[in-house]
Amino acid sequence: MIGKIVGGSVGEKVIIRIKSGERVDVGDILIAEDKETKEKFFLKVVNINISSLIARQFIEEMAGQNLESGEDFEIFDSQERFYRLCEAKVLKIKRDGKFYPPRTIPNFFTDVRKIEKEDLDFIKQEGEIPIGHLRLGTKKVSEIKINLPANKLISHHMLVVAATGKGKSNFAKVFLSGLLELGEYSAVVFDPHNEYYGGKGTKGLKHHHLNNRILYISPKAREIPGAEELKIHVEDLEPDDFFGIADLSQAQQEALSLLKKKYNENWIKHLLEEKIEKLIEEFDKKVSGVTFATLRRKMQHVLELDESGRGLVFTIEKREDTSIYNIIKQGIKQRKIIIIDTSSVGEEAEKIIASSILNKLFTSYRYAKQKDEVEFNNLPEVLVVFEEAPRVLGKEVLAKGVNVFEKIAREGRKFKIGLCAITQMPSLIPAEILSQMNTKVILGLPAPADRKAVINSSAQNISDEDVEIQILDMGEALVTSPFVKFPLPVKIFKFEEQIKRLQKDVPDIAIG
Amino acid sequence: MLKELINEIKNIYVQKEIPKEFFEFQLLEPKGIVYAVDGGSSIIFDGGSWCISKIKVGVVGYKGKKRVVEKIKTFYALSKKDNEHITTKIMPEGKIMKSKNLEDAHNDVRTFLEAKEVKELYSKTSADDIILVDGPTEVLKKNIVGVNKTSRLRAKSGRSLIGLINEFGSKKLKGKMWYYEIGNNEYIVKLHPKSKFCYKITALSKELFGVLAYFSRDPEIVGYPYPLIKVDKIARVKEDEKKMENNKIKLMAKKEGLILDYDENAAIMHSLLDKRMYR
Ligand SMILES: Nc1ncnc2c1ncn2[C@@H]1O[C@H](COP(=O)(O)OP(=O)(O)OP(=O)(O)O)[C@@H](O)[C@H]1O
Ligand SMILES: [Mg+2]
Repeated sequence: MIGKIVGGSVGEKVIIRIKSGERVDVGDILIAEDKETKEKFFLKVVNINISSLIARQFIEEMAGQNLESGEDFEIFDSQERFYRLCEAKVLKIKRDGKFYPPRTIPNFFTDVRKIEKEDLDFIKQEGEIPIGHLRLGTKKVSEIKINLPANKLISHHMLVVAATGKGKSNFAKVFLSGLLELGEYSAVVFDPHNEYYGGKGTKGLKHHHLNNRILYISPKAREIPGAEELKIHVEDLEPDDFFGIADLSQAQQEALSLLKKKYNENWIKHLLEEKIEKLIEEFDKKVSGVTFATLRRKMQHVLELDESGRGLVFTIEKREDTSIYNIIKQGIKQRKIIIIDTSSVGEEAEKIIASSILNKLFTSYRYAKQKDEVEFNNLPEVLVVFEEAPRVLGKEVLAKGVNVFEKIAREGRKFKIGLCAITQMPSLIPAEILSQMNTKVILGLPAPADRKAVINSSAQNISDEDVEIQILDMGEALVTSPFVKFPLPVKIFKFEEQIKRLQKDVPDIAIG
Repeated sequence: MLKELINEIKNIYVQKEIPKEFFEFQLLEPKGIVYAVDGGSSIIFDGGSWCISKIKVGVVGYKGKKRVVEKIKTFYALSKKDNEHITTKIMPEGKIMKSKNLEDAHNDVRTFLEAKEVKELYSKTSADDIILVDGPTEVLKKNIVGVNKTSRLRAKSGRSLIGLINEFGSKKLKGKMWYYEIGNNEYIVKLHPKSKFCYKITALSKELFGVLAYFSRDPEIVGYPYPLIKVDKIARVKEDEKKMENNKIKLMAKKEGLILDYDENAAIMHSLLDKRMYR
């Protein structure tokens, strides 16, 4: 026993007097067990105060005299007269083996103890993707593993937020490793720093023991065995891939649609190669020469094309074999995790790559759902991982028009497509989009505006955790989700260690 | 009118005697255990012509700053009017006491039980131990010390004796601890240099004042021995405790077919009127 309930109310916090010599930290989870009603209260420490039965005035006087004149006072029975009170909020109440929302509080003098492994047995049943250990205050109870349920959680979107270097990408890699173990899900990862697949010096998903189910797509595929080349023939692009992504005026957007209508898959080729005068003529002067000229420049710039219409990823050359989109589609069907290395293209090109892939993915899933229920049911839930999400979900870009990321955020759930948006600055994303991200993995966030944005958009009430979120250390997270009983304090596994662990968990099967 | 009042007070403050014999003393570390004994009592059921009281006698013991003893004994007393006397039976003690009036009976019992506790404790203590008693002590032995919180002692002029001595002592030995002997094993003592208060202490030996000073440095009441503060707290019969005991008694009586409420109502009416009159 480390304390006793001494006050509180349902609307506010409960107050616990802490036994002298016991250590309690903000963020700790404590258990108050009512012996009569047999209710178990899960409490989370949100604040700690020092308190005393001696009037404040005496204490100040005493401290003052000691400071100013070295006056000698002695405190008798100091342990019972000077003590710590901690404020805790009730997370959940367990009654007859079931969990209930905190509609009551424990009675006076109810014994309070630290949480034990057995109290958290329910966490084992909660999910199948291991992400870390339970983090209590600053210590970790290393035996208790936290799992997230993949089912539903994925298509209800995730937000991974933290200041730089706090472990966002590490979490995403850990989560993807777990997804890989399950074998029922797929993921598409857009990797602007080429850190997910792994290389010579760095560990990545290719070091996972199930790496045969990873599809790596990179412009530099030729150097990497088993990798697919990231090559996009512009004939496969749609005007939609640019809307809400590239900086286009209304007139320019309309022109793109007209081009597509007229030239079908050759719309970009024509835009790039036809004489401007010819274009103006062909469109009965509905589009100005300036618009065509600007669009041509923008297209070359965004797709990073040279004079001949060729670039690292995009090309106007005619496609001869199967498209990268088809390869991705097959990969998804095979429940693969697809990593797309965009590290060697610019930001604009990267966004077009992503939006074109996702548009096709979204369309095919939606089509399947509408046309062929059996096929749709055979499709796996797929998670789209996107780093620096405000680039495509920020208030500024979304003001230019709806893009596929927003579409997925709003309706992807119906089509089994989930978004894992990773960002340092959630405050740049509109509140309605943030609240679509049902599961939030919050690592340390020092900026008040970002904390506010995340706290206000969470399904579970985490307003008392503001301080905790502010001071989270690297790899320390608070995970809130409608699919967990209460916001979970987690120390995320270090990816390098987790893949070793997963490897060990696999029984060795003798072959031959 | 107030002016007249002040003039009258001036008469009280006429300097008829000037206390001179103040002695300084030093803090002393206690060698043995320092105990404090105190009792608390209250009427918990008032039946008008009879009453039940609860009496608690507490003991605490300190070895340095560490509390090593804490115990509490609980008694009940039934007092009733027999002819002109009030007789009180103490339970579980068994003794029967006589008192002048019903209201004070529990105080008499408490004083008796306190003294009994002090005697018992004394028989078990060693020479280095000290027993502090709240109020004047009946049992005066070398290591038993009585500390009076209040005193109605009067100087010749009519001023409070403690007030007068405190004024002169504090001026003469500013920032020091001192005692003033008033005779009859009684002293007025300043137990902490910063304390505004002095207490009347009954003791056979003034050597113990240094140890008392050791225990009088707690900020809750600087200048008053902390063990007495603690024992007062544990021995006090608190208001809600009174109510709880009252209900318990009535409930148990009811099970035996006794309805006590009628008698209690008679008494309560009387006390309600009392309260109104003095308001
Ligand atoms: N849970 C963890 N345990 C131990 N080390 C971690 C953990 N999470 C991250 N790290 C370490 O911290 C460093 C930064 O992690 P990571 O790259 O995941 O941060 P990030 O939030 O993605 O940063 P950026 O904003 O630069 O993308 C890495 O060296 C990583 O190994
Ligand atoms: Mg990162």
